[in-house]
Order: sequence, then C-alpha cells, then structure tokens
Amino acid sequence: MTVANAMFPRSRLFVLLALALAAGFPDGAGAGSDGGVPSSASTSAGDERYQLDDLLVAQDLFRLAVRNRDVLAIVAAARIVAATPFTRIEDVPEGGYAAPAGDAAAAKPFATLEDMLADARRLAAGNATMLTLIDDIGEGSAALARGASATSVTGIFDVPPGAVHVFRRPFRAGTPAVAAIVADGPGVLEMTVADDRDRAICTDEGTASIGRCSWLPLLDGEFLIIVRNTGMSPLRYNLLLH
Amino acid sequence: MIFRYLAPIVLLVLAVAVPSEAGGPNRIPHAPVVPDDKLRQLHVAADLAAWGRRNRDPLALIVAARLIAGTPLREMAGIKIEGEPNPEVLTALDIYMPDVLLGDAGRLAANDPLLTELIVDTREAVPRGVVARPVRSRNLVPAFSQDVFEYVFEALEPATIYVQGMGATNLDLAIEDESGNPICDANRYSDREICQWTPARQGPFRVIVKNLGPIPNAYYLMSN
Repeated sequence: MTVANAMFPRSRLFVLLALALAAGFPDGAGAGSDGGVPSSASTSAGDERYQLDDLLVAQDLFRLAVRNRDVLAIVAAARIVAATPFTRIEDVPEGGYAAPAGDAAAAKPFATLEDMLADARRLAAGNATMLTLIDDIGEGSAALARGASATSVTGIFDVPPGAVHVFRRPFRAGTPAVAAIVADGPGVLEMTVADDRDRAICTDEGTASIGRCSWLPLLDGEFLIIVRNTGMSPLRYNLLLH
Repeated sequence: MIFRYLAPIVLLVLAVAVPSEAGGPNRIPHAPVVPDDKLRQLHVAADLAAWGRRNRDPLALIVAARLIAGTPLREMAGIKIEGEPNPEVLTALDIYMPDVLLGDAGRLAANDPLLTELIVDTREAVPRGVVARPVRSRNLVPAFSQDVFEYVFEALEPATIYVQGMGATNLDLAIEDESGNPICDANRYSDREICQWTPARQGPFRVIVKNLGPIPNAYYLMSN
C-alpha cells in the first residue's frame, strides 16, 4: 500500500501501520490449530477491508469457472458476490461515456450475481444438485449480504485504443483506499492513481483482466484515477472504488 | 487458438521495441498475461479458501480444494539468498492441503447431506502423488523482516511468482531486476500475492517477500 499526498517519514509510518494491521490481521486461516476452522465467526460481509478484494476474487473465480465449465465454482463465486455489499455509482469519466445499455448486456466485465446465477443455471443443464445450490443463493442472497457497503462499482465504459478516461474522486485521510479495474479480457488497460497535484501514486499496467491500486491518503482530498488504453483494440471495463 | 500462434510474434515485436541492454527495466511493458496460468488458479483457490474460512462457508472450501487438487506442484529446495534459514518442517502451511480444506468443510457442513456428498465426491477425486510444474518452496519469514530470493527467467516467456502465506500476517511481494529496477509490487491486505510479467531478456530477478506483521509467517513461494 502506498502512503500518499504528503511528505512523511515513510519508514516510521510503515512500522506503525504494519503494527496496526498485523495486530488485527483477521485472515487467520492458520489460526485454527491443526488446520481447523477459526472458532470465532469473523464475518467478512460487513468487514470493509475485504469488500473490494472479495469482489475481485469472485470475478477471477467466475472467469476461471466459466472457462472450465465448472458450475460448482460459479456457485462459489456467486456466494461471494451475494455476501459482499456494494453500491452502484453513475460516475462518467472525463473523456469517456457509458457503454450503450443494450450493448452493455452483451459483454459485462463485472459479473453481477444475476449474471453468475444465469450462467450457472445454463451450465447446470438440469443437474438437480447444482440447481438446488443455485436456488439457495437466489433465495438467501438478502440474508447473506449484510453490513454497510463502502465499495462502489461504476457502470460499464468502452475505451478505444489510445483513449484516456479520468475519474476524480474524494478520499479520506487515514482510510485505506483501493481502486481496481475489471476489463472484459486481458489487455493493455493501464490504471494510474494520482493526487490533486497530478503526482502519480500507483500505476498498474493492467496486463491481466484485473488491475488494482491501493494507497493510504494522508490528507482529505481529491484523487485522479486515470484509465488509459495503450493497446490496439477497444476495451470495456468497470471501475471499483473503496 | 489464434492467440497461441500470434503471442510469440507479438512478444518478439514488443521485445524489439524496448531497450535490451542491462539498465532498462527487464520487463516487456504491457505484455498480456497468459490467462490460464496454473499459479493464477492457485491464487484464486487460496483467496477462495480464505474467504470460506472467514465466512464459515463449506462450499467455498470444497471448491478451493478441487482447484488446488487440480494444480499439482513440485517441491523445490530453498533458494533464499537473504533472510533467516527455514525450519525443516512447516506444517502450518498444510491449511492449503485439499484434505485439510475438506476436513474444515466437513465440520462446517455439519449434517447437510448435499454438502457432505460433495465433500465425499471431491475427496475421492483428489489426485495423489502427481508431480508436475509449477514448483514451490516452503519458507518462514520472521516478524518485520524480509526474505530475498533469486530467480532466473527466460526472455519473452511469461514469468509468475506467487506467495501464499498461512494467514498470520500481511505479506507483500516485490520483484526487482538485476539493476534494481522495480518490476512488480503486490501489496494487498493479504498474504497471498502474485506477480506476473514478461522479461525482455534472460536474467536474474530478486524476489522480495516482506512480513509487515509482528509475528513470523510461513509461506509457500511458487513459480512457473
């Protein structure tokens, strides 16, 4: 994570931050002795620290599952999305415009719960066990997702070769910030996060279909998320912010 | 299929377009990542396992076990060039073994017949004794310390390094080329980090695993 937007002794901050983070590192897969499950339920649905990354895991898993025609893995991806609250935002970037609504339905970089369940049903092809699992998610999704959402997902944008999209978003001091792009395939969609003086904080070249930048703002302020298509083909993406 | 034939040509063109002498970063900018990479699958599986444990979701653990079982690994002797030596036994890392994941799933599934059946099916399908690429080493990094490894990768062949910790602390992964140029910095709030790039020329890379926490963390280091 990059500490950004002011001069500060980075090494000292790094140690303080590491102490704070590590002390509360709740991922504790190894916390259960003998590989056991942690005894206390540390539900992540309401744990903001994981929301955006959980959504990215679900997208990665969903793509892998569709490629392998693995219905059970699609169900697992759908369960993550169902349990992870997020809000939709209607930001339109400078230099960009939303993909046409009808066209957007054809290829969605960010798969929603409905998209996942539809694909799972199609691939399940009448398998009763799988259909039961799929129906369970559909019925239980409201119960799975709980807690406040600090993660937002934009609409779909098309970015032609050479084009640059710029989003301006405020972020709060001391709150870890994450921006991620989910493209409709591997390509050359580069994402740069810059502060209000246009100083680059993080760049992800976006050679995979998912790019991610995280940083820790030291001051309240506006940050620029710059999405650039440096390839030869048009690309389509959603932006996720936390 | 077309990509399979076009990819080497595209990489060659990209390689010609970047400086090949030492001093320029040893990576081809914007080279597409191979999407079906096995380490990527392990990364997704480990993230899914972590999510499943946090959310007490047996189905996630079952799917993670299936994905991990489908990606056999070859053990490799340590190649650590800086950092504390590793203990001989690191059982903490067994949390990613398919059998352990399925055991956890079984405890969470309790008496659910459908999930129990899936666990049995998966356990029977887990391949045993398969040896294949990619490779991995087991390591332990002390609190607030870093381990440094050296790997040599071939020119134009996509390189992947993946760190998979036991969940004790936050681990970050950084890659530098032989001149110290940053190649990748993976720094999620997690101990499962992946770096993928395509070297412009054959050469050594420093792989740095940083433990940001106040206690040691055991981890697998894997490469293609």
